[in-house]
Amino acid sequence: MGSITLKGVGKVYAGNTVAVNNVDLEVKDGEFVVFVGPSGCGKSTLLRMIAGLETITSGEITIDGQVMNDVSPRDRDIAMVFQSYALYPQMTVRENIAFALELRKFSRDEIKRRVDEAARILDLSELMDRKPRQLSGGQRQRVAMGRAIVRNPAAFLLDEPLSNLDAKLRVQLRAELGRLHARLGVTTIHVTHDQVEAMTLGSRVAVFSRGTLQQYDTPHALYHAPANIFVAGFIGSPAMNFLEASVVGGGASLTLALGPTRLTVVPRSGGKELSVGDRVIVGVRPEHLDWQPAGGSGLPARVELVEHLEPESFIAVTPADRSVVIRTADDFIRGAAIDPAEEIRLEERMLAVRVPASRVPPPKTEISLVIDAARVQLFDSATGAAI
Amino acid sequence: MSELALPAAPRKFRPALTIGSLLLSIVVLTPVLWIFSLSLKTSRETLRPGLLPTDPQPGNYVEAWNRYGLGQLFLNSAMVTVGSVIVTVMVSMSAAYAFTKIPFKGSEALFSLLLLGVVIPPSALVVPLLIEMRYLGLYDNRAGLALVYVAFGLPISTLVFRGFFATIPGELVEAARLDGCTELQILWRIIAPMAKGAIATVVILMFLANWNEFILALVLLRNAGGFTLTLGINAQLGQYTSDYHLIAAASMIAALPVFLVYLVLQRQFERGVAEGALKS
Amino acid sequence: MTAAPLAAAGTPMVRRFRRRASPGAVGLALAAPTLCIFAGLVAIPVASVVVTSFTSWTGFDISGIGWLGIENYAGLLTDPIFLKAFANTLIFTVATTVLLNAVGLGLALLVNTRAHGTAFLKAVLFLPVLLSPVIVGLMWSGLLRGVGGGLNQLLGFLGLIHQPVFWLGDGRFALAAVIIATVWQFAGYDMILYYAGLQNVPDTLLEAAELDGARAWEKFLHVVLPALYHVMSVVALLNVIGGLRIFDIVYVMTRGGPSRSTEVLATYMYEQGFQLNAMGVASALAVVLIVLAIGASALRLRVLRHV
Ligand SMILES: Nc1ncnc2c1ncn2[C@@H]1O[C@H](COP(=O)(O)OP(=O)(O)OP(=O)(O)O)[C@@H](O)[C@H]1O
Ligand SMILES: [Mg+2]
Repeated sequence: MGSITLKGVGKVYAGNTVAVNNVDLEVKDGEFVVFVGPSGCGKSTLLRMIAGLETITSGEITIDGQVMNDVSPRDRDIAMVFQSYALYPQMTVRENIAFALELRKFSRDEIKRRVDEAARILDLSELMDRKPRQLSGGQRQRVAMGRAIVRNPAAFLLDEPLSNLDAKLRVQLRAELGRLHARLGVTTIHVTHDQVEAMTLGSRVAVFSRGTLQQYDTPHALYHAPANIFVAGFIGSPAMNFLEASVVGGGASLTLALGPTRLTVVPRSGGKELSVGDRVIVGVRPEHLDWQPAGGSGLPARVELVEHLEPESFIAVTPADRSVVIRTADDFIRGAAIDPAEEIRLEERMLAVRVPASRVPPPKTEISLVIDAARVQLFDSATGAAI
Repeated sequence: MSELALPAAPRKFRPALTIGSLLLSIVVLTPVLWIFSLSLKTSRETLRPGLLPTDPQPGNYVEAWNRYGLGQLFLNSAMVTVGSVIVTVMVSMSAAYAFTKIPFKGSEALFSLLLLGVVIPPSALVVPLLIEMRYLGLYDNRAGLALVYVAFGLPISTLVFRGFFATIPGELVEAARLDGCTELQILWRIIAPMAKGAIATVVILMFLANWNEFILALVLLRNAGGFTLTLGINAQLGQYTSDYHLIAAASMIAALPVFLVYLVLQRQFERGVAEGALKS
Repeated sequence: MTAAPLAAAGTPMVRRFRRRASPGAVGLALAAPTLCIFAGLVAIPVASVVVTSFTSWTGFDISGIGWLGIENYAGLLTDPIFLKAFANTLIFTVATTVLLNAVGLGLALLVNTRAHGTAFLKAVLFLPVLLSPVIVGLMWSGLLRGVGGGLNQLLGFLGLIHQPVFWLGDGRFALAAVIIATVWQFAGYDMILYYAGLQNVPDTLLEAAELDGARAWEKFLHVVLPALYHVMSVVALLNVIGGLRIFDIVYVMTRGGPSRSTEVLATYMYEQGFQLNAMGVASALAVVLIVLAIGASALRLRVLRHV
């Protein structure tokens, strides 16, 4: 058992830092949910509030229908895995894993049974008598998981458990985490700022930006129907391209002008009505762009950079027509969090295009950029919300 | 670590350095050796010239032990020292834990106030302490003396522990909380085992200070039966000058345990003393 | 999903929903024993010593107290013994601080060469640190005794004196003797501190200086010494505080005599409080001691900020 509900949860640190702002969210029993967002967006704070390590400024957190705001961490029946793993250095692996059970006065037999079981599941049996400092990063991570699973808690909270590992190990342990969840079926909240981790692990993903929940949905929905330009830009790599366009023809399908080029799109039903003359943001993913030799029907552009990768390479292009304005998600969440020095100046912005490695255009050439009109997503030019 | 800290002395100087070191060692040891020699002399010999006893009297030690009741003095010193050290460690550790890992309203200010205690000379407080201990019924009481030692040991001990605890990651404490520890369990089961070095530092500092303490004992103890070693030996001074050889023997006996512990734990002693001072 | 082995196993965790004590209260509770003991046996005595320093209190009978204002302090200023004790305390403090810093640093540098024999010296130097000042005073009294004392025997043997000198009974030598005994006791302590400081001189800096062609003494002056400022300030402060409060060794060696030539603030306070029962005056002396000690550490903080 372990469903978690957040109602209007907020956190204000001393000094008036709003770390988490009015979050509503429900994690169903047995679900694997991922919190994702850029550094400093409040993911850890939210997780720590669920664990009881941080006081709640406003709102209500319930676990299995019981309000937890004033329950101490040790009574919440929740296990957490920290980024640093936080293994007790003076205890062996076995003692680390058994510690919580011991505190809860389980019988020796029961402790032994559970610890051995966990060791087997996590393939730790060989390491049980070592101290944490004698383990590799991946092994420590598994011990931290072991410490969590022996308790059979209502929920696992994982705060960037993989971020201290090298890339290869990260992929391997990511898969292991998925298998573990399938096997144990324990409600899990996993925090990461790696969107690939989020998309591969989560049955649902909550995207945060600056303390606010932007969207909470399945990976598929996040990718194909992002709620706003922030989510659209955050999910997918390289990020979705955003172009400013104006509506030049209405009706069931809209005609948009992108500099000299015309684009006919069918807006999502039920979205905001657009009329001729409105500005709109066109979002198109790198994989939905293609190119032809210069002179084609697409948007004239120039190849600036080529990034050779197999089987698919990326090219960065700038529109030849300088009246075509490239936007970024940051433009819409501008505020204290964005360092002006890091903001990419308008004329230096480029569009990313994904192309098969076999047909990469030579750098510094003129091309014609073809936009897959059926796959573009439209966003409000003022608010950044999806249309 | 740093062989370089002083540019390695040129080879040709090294023999000179060695000889200098040995000479200095002898100079430093002279008072100790003198007293040792004295402790083996006969009563009449103490007033006559002569570096070495002509007829060494190991029996002086037995006589000093019996005459001055060193057994009881030892016991008193040990009780006061051990008791005060244990209490100081436990109490200051939990305060340092609170100050570093569970800060509360006003904890910073309270800690600063506590730090002032590091420089307050105990000798300046003997008058009010005497009154207070009488009032509390702890005057002429070894436990009372130990409690006063605790009070004067707490500032530096808390400071040393705080310095160490600050290096323990908060996540470790949080993990223990989630595992089901109460704060006291965190302190004793997670933090204390990690803090062995800091505990050793505090124990050594407090052991040295309290074993050798004089003025507080002088003021707060009255009945010779409860005297500590330093106090008991002091009480013999000036009584019969002809007993100088016995007082010397008693001094050697009093110094012996500290010397022995130092021989075994030289490294910890030096590190403990250095850390205790440099942390402040 | 197949039955999860762990989930299926045994008792579900018992859930208790105690309201949690606020973290602040828990922190305060853990700090409370320290704070209470400190308040009761250090803070309150400090406060009361300040209060009684303004009174005419003469003993343990509270009813006889009269409020004197600053009279005790004013009295001290015209009390030649106080002035003598004050001067002696300052002389003692300055002398031991200067000597101990110099000797401690010198010995640390010597020990740090790690030449043969230095390890032995280091161990020997530390022995006096372990001793009670009472025993140190005793040892030196024995060494400096007029009749049968070691120093007189040595000097007589060398033909430098023909009459025994009563070092501790002679106002010209007594204070110096106490100072030397104190330096002897604590040289090893300061040596250890400087030695620890020397281990923290960054090698990279020294290597850089070496590459710049610095001579040994230049390296010492520009690299080693600046790296020792912190240690130096600690050693100086400890010596100053120790010097101001000096009591035991004087008490054992000379009791402040002969004719007040080694009288220091703490011994005079002890005399006033416990022999003359002038608690008010004794308290005023105690306040002077406390103020000097706090002033010294405040001064150190200010100086440290500027280096
Ligand atoms: N103890 C604290 N006091 C004040 N502000 C804090 C504190 N802890 C975090 N913050 C602020 O709250 C915001 C959210 O922090 P949080 O640690 O939750 O971010 P995060 O999403 O986990 O980032 P990361 O991916 O870097 O771990 C940040 O702006 C941070 O500076
Ligand atoms: Mg985080």
